Amino acid sequence: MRSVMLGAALVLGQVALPAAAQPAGAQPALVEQGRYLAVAGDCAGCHGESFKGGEPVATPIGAIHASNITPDRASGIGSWSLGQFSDALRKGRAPEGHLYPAMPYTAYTGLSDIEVQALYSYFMLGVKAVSNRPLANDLPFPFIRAAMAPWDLLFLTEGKPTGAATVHGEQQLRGRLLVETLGHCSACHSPRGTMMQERADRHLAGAMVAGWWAPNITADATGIGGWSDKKLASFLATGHSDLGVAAGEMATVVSRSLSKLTPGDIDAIVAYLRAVPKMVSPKLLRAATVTASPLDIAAIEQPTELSAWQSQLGHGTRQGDVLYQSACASCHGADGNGSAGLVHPSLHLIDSDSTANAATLVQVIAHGVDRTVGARHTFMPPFRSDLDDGQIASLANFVRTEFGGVGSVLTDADVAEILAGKSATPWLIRYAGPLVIAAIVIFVLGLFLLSWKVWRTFTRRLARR
Amino acid sequence: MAVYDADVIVVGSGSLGSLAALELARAGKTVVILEAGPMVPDWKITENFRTSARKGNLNAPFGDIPYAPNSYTPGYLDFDADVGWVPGTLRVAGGTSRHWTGVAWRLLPEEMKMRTQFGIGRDWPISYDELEPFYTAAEYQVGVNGADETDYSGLNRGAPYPPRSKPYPLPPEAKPYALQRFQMRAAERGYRVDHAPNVRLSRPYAGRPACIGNNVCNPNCPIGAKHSGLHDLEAAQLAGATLKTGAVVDKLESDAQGRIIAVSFLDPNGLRSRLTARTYVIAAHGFETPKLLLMNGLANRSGMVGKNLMMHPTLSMGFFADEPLWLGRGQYLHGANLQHRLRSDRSKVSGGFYQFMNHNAAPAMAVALFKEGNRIGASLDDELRRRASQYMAIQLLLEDLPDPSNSMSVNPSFRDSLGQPGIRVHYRLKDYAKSALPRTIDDYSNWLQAMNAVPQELPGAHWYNQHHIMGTVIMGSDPSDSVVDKDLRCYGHDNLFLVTTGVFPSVSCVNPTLTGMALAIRAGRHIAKEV
Repeated sequence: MRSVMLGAALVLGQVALPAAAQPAGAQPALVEQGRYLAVAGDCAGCHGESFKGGEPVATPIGAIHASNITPDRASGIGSWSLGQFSDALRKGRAPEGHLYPAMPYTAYTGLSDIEVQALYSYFMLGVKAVSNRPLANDLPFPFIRAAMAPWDLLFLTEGKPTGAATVHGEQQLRGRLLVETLGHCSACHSPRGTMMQERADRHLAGAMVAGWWAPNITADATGIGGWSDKKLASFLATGHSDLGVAAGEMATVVSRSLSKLTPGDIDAIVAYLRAVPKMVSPKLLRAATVTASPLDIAAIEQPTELSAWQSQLGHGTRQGDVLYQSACASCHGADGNGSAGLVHPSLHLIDSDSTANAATLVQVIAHGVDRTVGARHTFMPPFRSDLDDGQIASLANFVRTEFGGVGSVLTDADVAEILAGKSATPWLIRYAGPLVIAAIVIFVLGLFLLSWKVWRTFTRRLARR
Repeated sequence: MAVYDADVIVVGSGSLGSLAALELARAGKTVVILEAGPMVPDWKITENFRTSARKGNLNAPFGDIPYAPNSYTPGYLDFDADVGWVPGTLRVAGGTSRHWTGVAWRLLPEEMKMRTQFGIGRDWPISYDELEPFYTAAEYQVGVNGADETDYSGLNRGAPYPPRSKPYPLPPEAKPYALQRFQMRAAERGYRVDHAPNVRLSRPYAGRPACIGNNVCNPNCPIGAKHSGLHDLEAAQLAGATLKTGAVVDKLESDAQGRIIAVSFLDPNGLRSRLTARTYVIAAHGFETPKLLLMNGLANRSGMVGKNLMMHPTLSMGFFADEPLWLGRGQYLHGANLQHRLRSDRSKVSGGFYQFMNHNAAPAMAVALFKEGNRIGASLDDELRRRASQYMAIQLLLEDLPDPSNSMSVNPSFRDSLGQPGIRVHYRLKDYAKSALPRTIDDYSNWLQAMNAVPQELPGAHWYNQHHIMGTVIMGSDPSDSVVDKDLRCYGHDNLFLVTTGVFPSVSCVNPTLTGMALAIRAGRHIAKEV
């Protein structure tokens, strides 16, 4: 009898415990919905697969360390109320202070109350608490958290993600939620303005991110206008299509997030992207406008001072065609047509304003492709250690002109800059420190002048008396 | 307290040296790898192979470097042997495995106890069980595809053998059509074709892409799907090891206690440098390692440095089947017959295994047709297609026993551009291997009948050997007849280790590289605990 009572008490205790620990507003019934939203929002992209944070997110003003968003009470968000969680997601305001817009709250601001609650339920009840305190951000003056409040005044419209387009029908509406709010696609695909805000006037028109070109994904011909719905959907779900493949950060977005969405949601994304106002990409240099320098036979035929073994083993050639045939043709074909079934993409695709961006090609040559979607691992080896900057430039020039038919005059320095991964920093941001100091100096000088003037006027008046 | 240039200096940047360096670097040790040859990227070797007129010469794409000649550089290797092939060794970053075939066998426990089990040869001073974790580590490091269910003893006892602590990291490739046909037709005569474990990837692994069937497994894989020592070298560098190429080591300085105190080397222009370390690893393969010891009079109290050369005596045979087999699809060596590997008569007859050469026969057939010289145009094409599609070549690799009379030594009559000597090899085939010929002829005859084949190359017409160099710095527990102990430490030199297939006391009949890799990883971890 005692043991039965003890057992009953234990059972009761087990039932009672989670209820007691459950934060107000977190509902078990919403956990699964929240999990899906967290995948669509790619929270793991910055906060890590376990959400314990710590990974540095590169921004033009310095590395921002993603926070711990597990329900750990001390180091995570376990002590946050639903209201605090909501403010962080939709207003960029966390209990500890203002968030930097590396956290895409200008996108997440489009979340509905119920979606916020579902996410809250998932993070509180469906995520394992991990104790981890990420490094403090080390951002230069004047990028203090408080400085973000006026930034919000300018660039945050609560409830409306930056650039969100007008939609018709349920499918486009759903697509807008996935693209503009959860997917925060514009964080990479929209160029940034003078204060690092996403430029609404060039929404999704393509941008450079850490040395990679995030292409124009509007329906213009220079964007994804030439892609059929089917191809676009296949690209989003698998990272692969015969019009292009996902590499770099996009490969991980597909791997972690897009490949796990339902087919209906993928179709909704496609439908919404068709509804976004078209943006025209800057025209690429076409091959016809470039005059290729004629082959200097004399230079090639000139006897070299190298001995046979040195010319056999020397590997400094700048001939793009030789490099292509030796390093690339085994997979992409001597003619650049790729392999059967286009497992290895045709390089003739590198011919449009959306696919032929030099940065993308240079990055892929240097870093390869490494994408896992489900059980399928797609891999192209990196060539960074086999080829120097000049060779990558020659190879990229060869591929772009020979197969893509676009002009290409990349130099060693171009390649070095692309691979350094430095996105152009707006003037205002780059000189923000000195500018603010200058402003303070001017203000203080002004105060001094003013007080001197006041004092002089006062003393003169006294003297007059 | 003495100040050293590094914790450990590794001489030789091949797979074995690099794997030892990788383990040391992972353990936080400072490691300098000295490589005599240059760094040449894979794409350049691909280009050189394509433009080479000497397609059958595996060393040709790597050039004849005046300051670091290789075994095919004219005059460098004086090969006095009654077997047919000069082992192709390289001096280049990544080492000889830049052109290895990639077959990754384990030894059997019995084969490491030849004296105890069969009363011949020598026992290893370590057991299979001691080596097993390092076999597994090597397989996972380099990406071996293999069939977990196979009894690799060839006895077909219905259970996997030898024992493994973990499954193969990668699944085997599908059996090529030719081997399926051969298996079907030879089965009724009692023959089985098992899968040969291989380092050609069946899916992306460890920063290498999956094989796409370029069909150029040798010399190098143009896309890096097949492992080479360059991958291990890159891994070691990534882990913190420093590579110095063009460093031709010729002097090891030692003190009165026999401890090595410095390594001295020449650059390609003859400029001398000297580096010091707590511990020194010589990983310069089976010829260069003993050569360096002999040049310095080191580690040779037993007189065994350079002796006991074993190279896997080999019989080669081939026939035209009565149907197109189209060999050449799939990994370079996929099929093996292991049924003679562990027979009870191994004390008398060398254990051996047949490897079915899965390469495109067209180049060799074309040469023969041109020599015959009586066909042109469509007739030539048709006949070339017929012969190339129907030809099957098979090699029998045989166990070699350690015998001090088979040896390598320094050849002072050759001098390279830095004045360094060459290598001399003396090798005579022993009865142990020769005694395997009669049953090889039986097998060959059975296969001719099974495939209704026209005989071409007959086994025994010539004896060959493999590119496997073993035994030249032999391992053992007795300092009076061995160069290194079970940890690969030289007797008489506390801080000098040899990481090479040259340490094998017995060699089985199978390709040695994976065993060498396991030893290298074991040595690396062991040395890391000491320094």
